[in-house]
Amino acid sequence: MIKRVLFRNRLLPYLLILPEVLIVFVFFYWPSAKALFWSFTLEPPFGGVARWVGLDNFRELFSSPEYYESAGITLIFAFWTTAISMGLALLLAIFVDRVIRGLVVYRTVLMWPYAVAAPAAAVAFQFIFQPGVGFFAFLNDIWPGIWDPNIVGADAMLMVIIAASWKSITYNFIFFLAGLQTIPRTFVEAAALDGAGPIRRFITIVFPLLSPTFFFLLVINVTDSFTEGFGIINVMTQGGPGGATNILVYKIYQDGFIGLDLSGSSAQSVVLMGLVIVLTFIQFKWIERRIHYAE
Amino acid sequence: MIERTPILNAVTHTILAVGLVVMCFPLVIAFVAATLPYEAVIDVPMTLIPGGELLENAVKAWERGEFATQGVNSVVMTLGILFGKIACASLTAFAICYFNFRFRMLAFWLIFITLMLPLEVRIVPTYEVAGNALLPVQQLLEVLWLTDLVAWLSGVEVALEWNLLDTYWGLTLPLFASATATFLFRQFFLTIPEELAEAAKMDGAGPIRFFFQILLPLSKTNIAALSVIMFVFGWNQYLWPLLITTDPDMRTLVMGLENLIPSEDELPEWNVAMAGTLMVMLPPIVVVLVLQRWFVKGLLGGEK
Amino acid sequence: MANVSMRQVRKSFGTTEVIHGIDIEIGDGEFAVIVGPSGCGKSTLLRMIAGLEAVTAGEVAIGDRVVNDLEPKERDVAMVFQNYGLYPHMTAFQNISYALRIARRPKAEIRERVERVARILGIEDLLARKPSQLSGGQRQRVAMGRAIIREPDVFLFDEPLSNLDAKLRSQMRVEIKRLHDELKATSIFVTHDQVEAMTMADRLVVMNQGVVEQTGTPRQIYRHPGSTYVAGFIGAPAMNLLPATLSDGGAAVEGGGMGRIALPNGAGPGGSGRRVVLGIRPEHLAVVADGNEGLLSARLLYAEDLGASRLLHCAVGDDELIVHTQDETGDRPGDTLRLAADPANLHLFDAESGRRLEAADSD
Repeated sequence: MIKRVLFRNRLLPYLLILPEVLIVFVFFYWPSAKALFWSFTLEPPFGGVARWVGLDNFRELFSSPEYYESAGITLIFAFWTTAISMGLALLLAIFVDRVIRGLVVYRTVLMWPYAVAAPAAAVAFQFIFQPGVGFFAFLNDIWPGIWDPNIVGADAMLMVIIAASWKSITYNFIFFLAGLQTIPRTFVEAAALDGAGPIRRFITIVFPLLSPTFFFLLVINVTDSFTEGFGIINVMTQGGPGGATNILVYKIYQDGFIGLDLSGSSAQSVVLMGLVIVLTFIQFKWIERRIHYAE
Repeated sequence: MIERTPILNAVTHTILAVGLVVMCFPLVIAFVAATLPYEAVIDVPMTLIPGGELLENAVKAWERGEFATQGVNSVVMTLGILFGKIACASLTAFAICYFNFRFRMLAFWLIFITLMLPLEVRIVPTYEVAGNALLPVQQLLEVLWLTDLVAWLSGVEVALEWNLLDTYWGLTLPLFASATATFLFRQFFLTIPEELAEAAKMDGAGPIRFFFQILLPLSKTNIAALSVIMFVFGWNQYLWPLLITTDPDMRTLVMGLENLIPSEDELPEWNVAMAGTLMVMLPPIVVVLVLQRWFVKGLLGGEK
Repeated sequence: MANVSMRQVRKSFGTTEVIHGIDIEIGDGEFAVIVGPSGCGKSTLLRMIAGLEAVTAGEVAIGDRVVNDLEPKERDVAMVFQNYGLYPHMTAFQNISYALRIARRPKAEIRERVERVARILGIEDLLARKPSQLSGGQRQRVAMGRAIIREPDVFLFDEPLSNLDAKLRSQMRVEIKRLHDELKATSIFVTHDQVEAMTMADRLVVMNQGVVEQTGTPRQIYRHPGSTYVAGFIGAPAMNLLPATLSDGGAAVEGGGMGRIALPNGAGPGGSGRRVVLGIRPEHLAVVADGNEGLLSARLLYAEDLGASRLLHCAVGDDELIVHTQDETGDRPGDTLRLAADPANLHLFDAESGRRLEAADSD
């Protein structure tokens, strides 16, 4: 944790950590504490004295059908985004790992979705999925009215899930590929000599060795889809149509900024923060385990 | 590799080829659309053969989206975040690794725990702080009645204010803190042989000199890797600039894209929108592809 | 130029004390070697002299200055590290000149001094290279150059040869000694290798578990090891140590598988029956015909042929000992050998404390 050789100076270390600690305090801890405080008060949007209301905000939240609806939508969004993105990434990583010629080409092409800003990807996908123009408009030419994400909630959901999955494939792919490449060839070769076929080898040798990576990515993906779906949703659907893509983060933003309901939005923030904290803790546990593996 | 049979190889390349098509698909469509004239882009089914109007569309998007102003803003924000993060993180990691001071572990955990507090879950209060970055100080003083004390002693009303809304500071400063970058620097510093610091001490170098002349030059590759990631991160910022800018002159390219999406009551000029999207996508893509090696290292480094 | 003295120096890490009150006096211009097994505290001691480790109690003085609270750069010492500690991103020239550049010496002076040092070390052609482009021996020289250029009062060496292969090591040994003869600066050299210690030291300090076991010239320590520990540590192969008992009122020893061996001075330390350890160096044992004085009867286990000489591993009763001999004998494993010990080179140690017993010592 610390070097054996240290510099001796009373003031300097504090000066060195000051910038980051100040920023963290002002822009992370203060707002988080504020959200916590607001969630227990009734906060008038245009100033005035806040009133302490205890758990009322949370009670209201958990008795609101809209909130459950949003939570359900978030789960659907998180589940499918994670499943599609990780599934495809794993599949591609397994095959890229087998390739010798063309590896650079494959890897390069798989890099770029990460570099694309979520809103930019969202604009491109929105064009592709328009009912009247773009690539999938031909569906409506054949079967009129079969596809319209501007009106049909399920279509909109499918559209944002595809966009979000596409965007996160790179990250998963890079980790899976790195994980696969650290598996010693001798294990796989030994299994092959024992007579195990490729699928059996994958299930009994490769996947167990890959499971730490898999678990790490699972937590990261779920956390990210809770929080980072914002850009895509805001550009493509604004939570619509009819709230069909109104995931929790977007609802916090809408209730807080558009609806100016500071208390209700804060209560939601606190709940979501709790979720993220739990997931991050699980991830820390994973990191700890990884460190033990390494030593 | 075992079982390098022709059939398995064919399967491998087929699956990968399909994968590549799927991954490229949105970009290909965006590119084709960006090259088409208006009449062709609204045609159904859409053609997949590129047209010749890429430049015209790009110019239109450039003007309509005010890319000149927004481009400058994007560059300033990206580089600001990049340098800010690397500076803050390396200084903190240096203090934590090379000094023993009372709040060492506290500082480390304080920064590390911010991983659990993404902006998305604390949007509204963070916006409030951006309106006045000195608000925490002001309110702490008020709680301690120090404002009243000063007012009573000197008659001066204490009202600290530093408005970050619609400023470059606002776009960058709150994003300077980085748990991952701090953690990465710390991990790297711990691998640097002890003898280098000892030798530097014997040679008469103090901590500041050691940091700038030994530690930073040795961190070159790590800084490169981190820079690629931070460039992409900075350029692609969306929610935060959306919150704190209202002035059109302070918008960034990524934010401005939204204006290019045709709304119900105007011509659906998707060709222009796609040309704009391509331009906005381009800088981080170029950085990632050109510096691919550093990019992968930076991305994987986060978990080691 | 300066002498280095340590007075009652102690060092603790947390609650564990690793150096238990050490007194060492190293004269001006002396080449002192601190030798001991790993973990004995020798490196810690060196780092306290360098100023890289704080002194918990006691005094470290260089010249007539107590340096306990001085920063390393204020102590006028230079150090050569075990892994060289060269800055990987700097060329050899930049590595060697770093201290001078920090001290803001004029450019011309720096160049001139680096070139002089490079000439002494024979690395003039390597100055533009980075450490990664140098071999182990070359890095070693650059590390030496970095120390020499500062013209310090005291040179500190922290196991600097342990990363070199055997041939290079013996070559560098000679070279460091030659340099010392040239520069005449006080040098303190830490090593766990007793060959290095014996060959290089003007003064040898043997350490064990945070205390100094013995100080002296290599010759003194070899001839009169102060304890069984020193006896076993200095000299290769190690001294044979056999449990024995005094007899004849202290005039002889006997025990285990050996017969009675008369002590040279006629009167041993203490009376009959005292339990002691008898030390005989392998080279002071000889294979002889029957009937000689001071005989041991030993069974040959196996023989190692070193070319110029042989090591005979023998069993004496339940103990084993080694004979280092240049005689060619046709003995085979299992044969019984008659061994004679040179009476002038017998060492006696107390069985409990392990301290050396002198003949006059009647304790």
